[in-house]
Amino acid sequence: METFLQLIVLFFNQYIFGFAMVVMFSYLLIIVFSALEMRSYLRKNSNTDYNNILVSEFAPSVSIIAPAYNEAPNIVDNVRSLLSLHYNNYEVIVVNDGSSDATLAEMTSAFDLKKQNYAINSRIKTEEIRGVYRSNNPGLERLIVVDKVNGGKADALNAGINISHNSLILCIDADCIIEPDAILKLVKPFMDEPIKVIAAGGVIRIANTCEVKHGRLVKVHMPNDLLSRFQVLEYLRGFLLGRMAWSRINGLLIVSGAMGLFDKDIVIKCGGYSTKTVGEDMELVLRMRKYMHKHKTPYKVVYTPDPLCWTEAPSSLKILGRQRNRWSRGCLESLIMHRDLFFNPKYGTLGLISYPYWLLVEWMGPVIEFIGLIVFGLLIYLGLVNWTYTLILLVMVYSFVLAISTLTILYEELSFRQYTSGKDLVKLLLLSFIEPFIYHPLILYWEMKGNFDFLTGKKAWGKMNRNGFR
Amino acid sequence: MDIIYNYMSLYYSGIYDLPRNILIALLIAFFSLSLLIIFYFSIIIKRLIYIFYKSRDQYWTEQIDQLLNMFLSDIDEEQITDPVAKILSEFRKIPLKKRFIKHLLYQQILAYHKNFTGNAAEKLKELFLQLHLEDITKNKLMSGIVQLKIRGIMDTAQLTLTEFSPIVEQLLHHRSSEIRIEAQAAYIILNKAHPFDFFDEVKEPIQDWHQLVLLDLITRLNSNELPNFSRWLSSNNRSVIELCLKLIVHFQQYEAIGRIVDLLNHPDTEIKHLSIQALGEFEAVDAEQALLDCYAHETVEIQAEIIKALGRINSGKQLDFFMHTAALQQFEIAFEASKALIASGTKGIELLKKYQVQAPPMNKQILNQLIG
Repeated sequence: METFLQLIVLFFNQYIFGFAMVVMFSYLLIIVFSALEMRSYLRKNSNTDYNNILVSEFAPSVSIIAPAYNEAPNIVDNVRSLLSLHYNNYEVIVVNDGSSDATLAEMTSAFDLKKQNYAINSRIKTEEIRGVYRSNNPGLERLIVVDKVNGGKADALNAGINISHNSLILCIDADCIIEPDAILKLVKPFMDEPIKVIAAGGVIRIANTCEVKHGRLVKVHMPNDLLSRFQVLEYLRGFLLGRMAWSRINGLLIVSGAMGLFDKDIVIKCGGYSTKTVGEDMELVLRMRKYMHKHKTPYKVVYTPDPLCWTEAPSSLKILGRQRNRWSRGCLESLIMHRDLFFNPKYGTLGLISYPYWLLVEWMGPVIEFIGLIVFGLLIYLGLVNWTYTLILLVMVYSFVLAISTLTILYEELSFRQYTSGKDLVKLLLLSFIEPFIYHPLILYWEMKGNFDFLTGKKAWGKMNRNGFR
Repeated sequence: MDIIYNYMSLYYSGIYDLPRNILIALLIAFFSLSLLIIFYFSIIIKRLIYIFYKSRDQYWTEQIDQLLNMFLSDIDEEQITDPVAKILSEFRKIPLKKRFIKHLLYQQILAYHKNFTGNAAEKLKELFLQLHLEDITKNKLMSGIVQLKIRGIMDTAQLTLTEFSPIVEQLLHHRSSEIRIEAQAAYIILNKAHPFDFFDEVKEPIQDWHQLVLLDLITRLNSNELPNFSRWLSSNNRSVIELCLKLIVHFQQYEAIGRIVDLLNHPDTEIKHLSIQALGEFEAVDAEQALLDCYAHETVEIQAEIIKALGRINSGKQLDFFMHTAALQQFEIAFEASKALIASGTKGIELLKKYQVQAPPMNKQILNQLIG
């Protein structure tokens, strides 16, 4: 019996160690690919004159779709900021998703909106549209406000897609701050890639404590609270390393829901956003990619490393917990919905690399870590821990994580250097030391809770209270 | 010495006795910590270099700006006959032997030149040449670094440095698409006699972005100096045809209508799409039958585009066709056909109003939006 138990422990040790090696190796590959992609992007675009596209009548037309639910305090500023982006051919569609506050009333009075007869090409089924509003003011010609029965973010985006007139759709969160030249930079890949681009994402950054004036970001600062600071580091790592690397090998599975530019035709052919998952952004990209594979059309999903969108990160544990719980559920839902991709050679990189990575590393990683912690606790209780070896293993993991975080900060320093103040740089570097002990366990807990909630059938989005920008 | 040796051997044999996994872990930890130190040094050095360059360049940029502003105000002074000669002596006081100062001056003159036109721009170019800054442009053009080469081409085009035209010409078919774009754009500016010669030879696809750059440039040229772009509508390069169709429409080259009608049977959907659009823009009555002939066997998107074009042509002969298509259950087609009927005047609107009463919900919704 004892030998059998020893065998199990030995197998467990070997398996977990092997898994850790695979994860570390995949991170090393991510570092290499993201460096290559970043270098290639900076080289390609360092001399680009975006004024060409800004003023050109031949630039592709874009519809910005911003779903809004109970956004009354900030909606007017946010819409004004969207209306003043640096681009020529675009329209702004704000979808009031059955808000219970004065979101619609605020917009109606600020923009002099009038309800209009509007023919809607309902290519995607949505909740009932109560009305379409436009302004009599010729200066607000590009604004369309849609009022509909509440159906969730995905449903609101679908309603916006049905209303839109243009070939490219930029789906954004209404409470984000979009950089003025965001459309210019996102549109370019659709025009200069030799193969069809079906979706493009931009880097999302944390705007907490940054200075905002009239819906525009004027100065970047590190957030005041520790929780938001951790998210700064986390977002930098996620976007500058992760997404850039996946973009390099055309293996991106997600374009952030906060901001993504899509080929409308393909989105409609795929049936639009799914209302059956809380991870609608990831699910849509998966479905679009599968569609392109099925039709044997070469395609690309790309990422732009420029900071194009600034979002307010949750600064309370409760709200952050809800968000991560939802992300975790959304990821698992999307992975299960598209399980036929798993090691399916028919889908190339998508089936053989991206999907297995997301399933085995991104989703299963936290699960294995959690089981590992339970086993570790059990071994301590049984007095079976070799503390010297434990210390060595801990040093390995800690130094590796620290090296990755520091490398991300170096990437930021070499590329966009948003945190110009020396103090902010020191704060970022110090954060990386404590993040594995304070922030990481919290994220792990919320991810596990998300998995548990998925198993118990929880479907709620979770209320997201924001403090607003200063 | 013996004591140290004994301790070391004990230490090493201790390490070799460790389990394989722990040995690997030690190696990874060592590797990661070494990288960590390198990354920290890189961050610190990068930040220090940034601060150093920023403060150094700031001082000299201010000095240069002062002189350039003085120069620009001298240009407007009637008493000063040769402002370039006057300011040259001032510029020569700056230590231009230092490479970075010369480069700063180069950048600043180009930046000012970009923001001025007419006499001021001419004088800035003269100053640039008098200071022999074109050597920097030449070095950039000859550089093996793609980014520098591109910058060199852009600078050549901006200042119209025709003496570098042969270098630019060699880059027209470069394997790097970024270099190609800029070289072709610069060639159009530098080669006044035959700026579009390269259209005959270009093999690689001109991507949409590249087309946009060229369109932006060409549409700013004097239309009297432009060729008839229809001569490239039979090109083997699909993208050249696309670009020329856009140019034909922009410059309203009506003589191309016949060649455009031929493209209605082109196998490429985008070319077909652009051709239909062009015929609509030209309100080409002669092309009406050709458009109707190809309607039946096209996709919904192309059919909608054909109706749109016929609506623009507005000959008054297609009311029955428009009415038939306005009653279809295809949103895009019904919408365009209804718009075409409205554009055709009272008769069309009457027909729509009559239909509105008994129209199915989708068509009724369209008519409610368009005619209330």
